[in-house]
Amino acid sequence: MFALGISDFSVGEGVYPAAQLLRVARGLGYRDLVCWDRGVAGYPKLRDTLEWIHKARELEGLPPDPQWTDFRIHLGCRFSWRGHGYGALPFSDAGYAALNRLLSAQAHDAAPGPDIPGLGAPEPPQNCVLLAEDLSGLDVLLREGFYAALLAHPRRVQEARKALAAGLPVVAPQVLRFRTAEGLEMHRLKRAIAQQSTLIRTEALWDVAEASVPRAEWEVRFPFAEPAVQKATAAVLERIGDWRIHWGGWVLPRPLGQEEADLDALLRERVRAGVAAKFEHPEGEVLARMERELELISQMNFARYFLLVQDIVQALTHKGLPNRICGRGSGAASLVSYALDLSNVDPVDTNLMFERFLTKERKDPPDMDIDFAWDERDAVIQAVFERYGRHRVAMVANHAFFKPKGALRAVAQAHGRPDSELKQLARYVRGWEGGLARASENPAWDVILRQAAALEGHFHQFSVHPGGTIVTPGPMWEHAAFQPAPAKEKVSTTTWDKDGVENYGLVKIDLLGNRSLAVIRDAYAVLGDRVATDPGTHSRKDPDTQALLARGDSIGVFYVESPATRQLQQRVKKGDFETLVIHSSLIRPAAYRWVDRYVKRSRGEEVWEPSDPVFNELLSESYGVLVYQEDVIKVCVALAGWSHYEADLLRKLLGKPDCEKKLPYFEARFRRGCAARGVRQATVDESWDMIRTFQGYSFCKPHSASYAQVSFESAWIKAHHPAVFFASVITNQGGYYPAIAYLGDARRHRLVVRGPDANASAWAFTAEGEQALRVGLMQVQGAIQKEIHELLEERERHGPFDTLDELLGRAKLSVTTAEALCAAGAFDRWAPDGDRTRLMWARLGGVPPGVRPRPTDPFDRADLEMETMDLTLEMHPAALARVRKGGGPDRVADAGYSTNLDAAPRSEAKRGTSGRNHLRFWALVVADKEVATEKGERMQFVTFEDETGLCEAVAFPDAIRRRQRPFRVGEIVSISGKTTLQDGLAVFEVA
Amino acid sequence: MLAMWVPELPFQLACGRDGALRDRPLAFLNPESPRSPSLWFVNRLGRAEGLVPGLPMDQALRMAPGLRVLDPAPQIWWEAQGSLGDFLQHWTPQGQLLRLGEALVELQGTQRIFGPLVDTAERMRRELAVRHGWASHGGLSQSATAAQIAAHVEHCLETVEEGAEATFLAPQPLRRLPDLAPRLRERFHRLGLRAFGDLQPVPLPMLVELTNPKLAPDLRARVRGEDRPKLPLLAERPGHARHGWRLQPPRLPEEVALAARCLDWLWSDPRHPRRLALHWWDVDGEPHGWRATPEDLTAPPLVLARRIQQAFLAGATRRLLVREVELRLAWGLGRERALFEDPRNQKLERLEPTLARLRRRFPDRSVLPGWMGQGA
Repeated sequence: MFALGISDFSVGEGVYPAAQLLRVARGLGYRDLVCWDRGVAGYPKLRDTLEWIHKARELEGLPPDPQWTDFRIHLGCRFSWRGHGYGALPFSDAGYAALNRLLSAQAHDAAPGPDIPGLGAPEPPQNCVLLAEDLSGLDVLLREGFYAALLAHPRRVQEARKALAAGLPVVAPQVLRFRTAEGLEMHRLKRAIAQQSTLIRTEALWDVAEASVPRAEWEVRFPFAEPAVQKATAAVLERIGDWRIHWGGWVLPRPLGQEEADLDALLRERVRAGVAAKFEHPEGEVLARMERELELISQMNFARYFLLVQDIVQALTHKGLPNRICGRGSGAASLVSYALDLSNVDPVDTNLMFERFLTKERKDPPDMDIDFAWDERDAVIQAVFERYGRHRVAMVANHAFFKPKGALRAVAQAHGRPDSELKQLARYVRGWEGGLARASENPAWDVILRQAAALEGHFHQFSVHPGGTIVTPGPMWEHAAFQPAPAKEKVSTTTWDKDGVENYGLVKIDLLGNRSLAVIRDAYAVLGDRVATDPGTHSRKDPDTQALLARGDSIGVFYVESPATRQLQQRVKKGDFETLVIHSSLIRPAAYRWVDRYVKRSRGEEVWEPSDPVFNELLSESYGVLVYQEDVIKVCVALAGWSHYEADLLRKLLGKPDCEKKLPYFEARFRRGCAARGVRQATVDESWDMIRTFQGYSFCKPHSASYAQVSFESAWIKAHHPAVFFASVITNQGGYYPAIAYLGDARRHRLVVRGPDANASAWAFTAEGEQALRVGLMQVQGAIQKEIHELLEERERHGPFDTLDELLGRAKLSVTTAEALCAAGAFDRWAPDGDRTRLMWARLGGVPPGVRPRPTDPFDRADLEMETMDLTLEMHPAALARVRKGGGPDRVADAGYSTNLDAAPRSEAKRGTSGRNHLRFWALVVADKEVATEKGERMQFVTFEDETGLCEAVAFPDAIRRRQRPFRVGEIVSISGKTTLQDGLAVFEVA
Repeated sequence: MLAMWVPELPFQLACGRDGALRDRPLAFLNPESPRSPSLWFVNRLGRAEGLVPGLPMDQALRMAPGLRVLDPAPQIWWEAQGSLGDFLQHWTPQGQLLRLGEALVELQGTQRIFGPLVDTAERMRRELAVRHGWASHGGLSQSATAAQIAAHVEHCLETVEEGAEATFLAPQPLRRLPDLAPRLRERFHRLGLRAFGDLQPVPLPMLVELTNPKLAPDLRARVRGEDRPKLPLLAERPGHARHGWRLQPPRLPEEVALAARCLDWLWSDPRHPRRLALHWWDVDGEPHGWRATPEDLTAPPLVLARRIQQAFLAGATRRLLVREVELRLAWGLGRERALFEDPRNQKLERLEPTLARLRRRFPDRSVLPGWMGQGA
């Protein structure tokens, strides 16, 4: 007989995460478990967990666990209709679609969302076993002509008796809600969290008597013991047991307008045309690869996916939406993608491995990631919804699970603890996982901590995947339930997350936003015909661009502007495309631990002697270091004899949070595979050690290559047109550094930075010729945006303003806007002496008699600029602090960031001293990165700036302890410490 | 108007208890960071040695080896502030307690009792020193702003003569103007107005444009020393009562046994309440309130106390602990207390003790005063 299991996906009710629910069901003696949540969001997780149980045994080389061999999970769900509680268990595809339709309709009715054509009103689903939770609910269903049964419970025996007496069908599977008192308390806690109430005010939905009992005990109780009930329950199981949900088979829609076409032939035709256009004389290797890819795509019936993505991109281009895209991710490894203009890197030339994207054995569908300019992304997604219809398109949901900090916060709020306490606690747990242990130093938090620890890992809430979008061949409800996206207008999301959608077989397309594409777009628009016809190839081969990258002068350049990447570039001193591809992957957390080894070998300081010739074949490109995700796959395939698909499973696992738990199973299989092929033990150990440490976020090579391509284009603009480049970077915001740091870098590139000007500034930052940069009015905080736009329109219509009075007369600015613009210096052209105070009185009709306002001096101007724009024009904030507060005789440039490290530090030369590496200076913090040491202590990498330059610094735990707080971007700090030379680069150690 | 300022009241209290603490750098421990002890308040001798609030204790002790770090006692400080209020009540009924150790009182009209205002103020300072051992500063002026700023002059009583307020205030920096919103201070700063004297000649319409129509007249009066606010009464008016309950530690509303305590408060006076308002504050300072309806007021105390508790639970919907509860009562149901009592009322009032006994004996029944019974 079967049980109905309520998991943590029943928000505010369920207490069991998937693995625990399975254990409980099995432990109580059940072999059939029906997912009994509100909605079907938790079904894939349950299924995935059960599959992992089998997979783990297989990886260990053990026979299937007899405990779990015949354990089955069935789909079902609870819902409310007309005020009564029901449950539905589909027994056919039509029933499953009807159930999804009901859930989707109810979700769209309950929350504001888009109108879905054809979804209709919520009605109980046909082709499902319907169970009513009470007799009146059963009555309502029967009156409406539905066939249903009563879900009986020993606590409601009278109802069951009545139903039996009336000849109505009664079933009595056990509902697994909780088992112990702690479980019931957790249920109350989750209810309090969901209702945003306090624990003390929250009543449990369930009764103590509803605790789960072993199957044998349940089956001797009335009503189950009643033969009619037992028979009816068995009949339900038999009915639902015959139906298997479609799972795993790929579901791919056809592109619009190609419903009847032979898609393989169409794809072949388009790819050939694309290859002919891309390659002047396609050689044998290109053609062979094209044929190989097309063959495999045809075999996997995957042509429709490529054509669908192309259709979406082309349709958007016709609508004038994105004029620039960047295909990235594993999809960029395909020559077919390249030929269809879905990616921008030649996979043959760059040696990209197609198997990372698609193999014959692959079970989960691969997806393509396409980047659009960040400001076009929402319009792009809406355009897809409109093109394929809102009933066929949905974004993919994200499932957020409770992490230590979130769990603690939720539990503390349920206990009514105030924000101040939460803030205090947030300080305790910041920066490392598992902070709960340290927070327990406060004894008043005992209960809260215990409950928070238990809550960790439970499902919390839905959010939206950044760009994952799926399109189905027919209505979405035939495949999955969907709902209005939380906090996102006119968008629906699936109730399943990325893994659920993939495991079902729905193929997603990632439509993502990228700021650098907007930077390049804006810059090219300004540069016009100064841009080469093929900017990608041109920039890759441009010596100036390569030199710029080689010296790490890449602030503002896409993906290589962080201090760590710039330092890597400086250490390796190479700026070619292939090196950048390696570096943009090497800098990710998974590969970064090998960076020193890589640098030494690439510079020839350490000889790489592969312990086994096989490494030479696999990893020669990256000097024996695992850099890309493919490297893991290559090693597993070559040494352990795994299939690409199997190796890909390991690759996926390495990026997941439960990696540590599952990795030993893969290790066992890897070692067995290697042993079977006679690989030397030392080689096996070395390669597994590299794989084991390749955990965390990592890139595949096509992804790195796509990004490196964008980096090169961006770097080309910086190398040749820095004014346009910096204007575009700051306008599009969101880079690694604050605007003031970009302006500092612009000055180091000998650009003149001009302040905002009511007659010369646009909304955005603009380049004035090749040597100057004008601050845009967008930077002025405190001004009312609408009024600024009106001012710009007025200037556009009737020409520039001759006087400030004329401006105020024509533009009708409020006091607030006039004050902000004046403080930022936008009216300075009317005050040659720089006295902004006098200008500010202009809006009020002039200085009244008897008032003698203090004029503005350069220090006041710098203050005003910092207040209104977070940047200064004449004087660096660090210089300002130095003048005002004194001290700090040295300068940042003395720390040796200067490219000429042999030159005597400026201040030392000035003072006539030398050889002292202890420095004290005032600086602005422009970047900070916090990391934990092996002991779990906090340390920071910080970038300081003053008017003389930048320096990279490290603050060890002692320094942070002395300072009592970490460095934060935007702070102006007085720093002392010493300069050390690390691998040829000067690094400042904060004392 | 006299502004009294007992500087560093918490430190003065500590020194009063332990004479050995005098003339040495002192600081209170920050109660919010038990793991890494740091300073909360620092006295002026401590500040002179470079200590500042927030400094880690070990660092502070290295900088000033003579530093004594004391445990904070907010409850005692709170009570001391109450004592200051009681002390001031002996001298004048009108006044207002401001920040810890600060008060503003109206002395105008007390000349016939205590003599000239300057002498009274001096006597108040002396008496405060004798009775409580607190050193204080004072500022005497017709203008509340001038008095408050004058009180900042240390160890003496600063008097601002009538008509000289504007001159006195003119050189004072604008940041000393109490309660000036940071946004306005910033705007004035940008306009080059740094001192009271800079702002004094600004015409009212311009000030309205710079601030807002409600605030501008008051602001103008304050910067020119022309503000003559009517201060509230320091003590409760006759027939009124205010019962405060500071919950230590703060509790969830369900854990506050309000009904029992309210019953005590309701029984504290033999009369029926005429008005009843309950106020409470969450731990984050959010205020809430509930006012009893006329029907509630005629209910017997036992019922009324329960109703207060219910209203409190119904109103405390936030998921947060409650820090403070206050019950404000005006006694004497059914009639306002006039300045001159009429004989009939006096007669009926004599029955109040009897009514009180009856109410205690029959707490669940409505025992109404005679004039209410007449109307009924």
